[in-house]
Amino acid sequence: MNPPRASFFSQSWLILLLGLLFGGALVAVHTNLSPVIAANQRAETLRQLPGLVLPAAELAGAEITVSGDRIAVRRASGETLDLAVAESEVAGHQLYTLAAAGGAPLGYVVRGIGSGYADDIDLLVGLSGDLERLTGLFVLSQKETPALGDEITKEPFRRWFTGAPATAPLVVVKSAAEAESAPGRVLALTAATISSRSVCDIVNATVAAVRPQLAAAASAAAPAEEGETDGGR
Amino acid sequence: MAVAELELPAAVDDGPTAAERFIAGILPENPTFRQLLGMCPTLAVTAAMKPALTMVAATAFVLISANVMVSLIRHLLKPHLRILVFTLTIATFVTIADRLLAAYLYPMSVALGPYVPLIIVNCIIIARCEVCGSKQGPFTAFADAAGNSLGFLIGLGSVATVREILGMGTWFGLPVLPAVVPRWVIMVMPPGAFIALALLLALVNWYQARPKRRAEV
Repeated sequence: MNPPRASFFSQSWLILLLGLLFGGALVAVHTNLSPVIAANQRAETLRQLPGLVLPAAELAGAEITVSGDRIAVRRASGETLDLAVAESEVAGHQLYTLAAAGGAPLGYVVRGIGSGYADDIDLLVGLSGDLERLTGLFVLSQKETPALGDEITKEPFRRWFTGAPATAPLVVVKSAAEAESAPGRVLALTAATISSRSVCDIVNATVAAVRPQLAAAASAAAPAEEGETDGGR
Repeated sequence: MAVAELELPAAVDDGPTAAERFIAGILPENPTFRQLLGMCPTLAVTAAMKPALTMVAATAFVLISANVMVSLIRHLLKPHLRILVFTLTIATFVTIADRLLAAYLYPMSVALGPYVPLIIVNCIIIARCEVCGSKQGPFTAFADAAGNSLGFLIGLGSVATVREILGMGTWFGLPVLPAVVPRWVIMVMPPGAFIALALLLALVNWYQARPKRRAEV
């Protein structure tokens, strides 16, 4: 009878060798492709930003192209809107500030991540330039129940967030009449109340964390700009 | 029983030839319609042709790579560890396929979601490694995998064709039905996958039974 250690190696040497070879191959693939994949993910995120800040009517039939930190929105009329994106981090959240080239911020988009029914939900929330209302919602990734919870990615659910006040937390309700009765109410998805609540909780937490800091930064910047203007007179 | 007694029989190319393997995988032993293997992607990603063909391409890459790799190391396989080796090999190539899709076909990678990593548990691949890769040479293993990939293409392509045309009036996103023809929205929803597969299976079974009936008459 072989000693246990010798038996172990004689039995498993092929698996150990394959593990090393395949592991090395995967490291090489990961090292080479990671930058490309990260660039794809960033471009995909940036492509969503105009839809989260600009009114839907302005984007009807528009073609959006991303190049570095610039987003070009080519409208159906042929007119092109050139947008600049500034990325920063506020209160632990990734913040995208969208501005027309050389102009004041048109709005902000904040990334929020939180627990859903099945796994984390990663989403983008649009905030108006005056920080008074939400301007849109986009779910970047989720693993909610197919055909039930994953309806959070679709327009009928997302529309409840567009135009909702950013000054008070959103409330999930279960009847359409109640949802229509006042802004800031979100109609829960049928058979997916937990997913609906999760999205609202993530949005509420994200806005509550980011909005005061953005407001403070905006009010600090306002006198400075005023002073510069006065000094120029 | 001593381990030595469990060694695989000498792996010699005494099975079907490469051409026979190739042809068998396309229609006579079609993985979708004759063996009913790989049902998860057949039902899940066939709402339209583009995601279906991307899934076929990813599965073909894994199937061919894993079958040839297993064939190359077939003399080293121990019978009781072979499934472990198959799984390790398949998982490696699936991860490579997943990363390649995310890098060069990002929108399709997002659209297919978890179904690309799920190729690891696709029964077609492990079945071919067991039936052919672990017993015959690399050329025959390649032909076998290529034939089964074509068979899988026929399976997914036919289900996706039925679903996309009836459900959206398009094929590869191009309109093929006039606007006046009503769309069967159910066909692009999960029940539509079962309906389309059942109808196609019935058609294949009816076609297969025809010569037998004629002979009986």
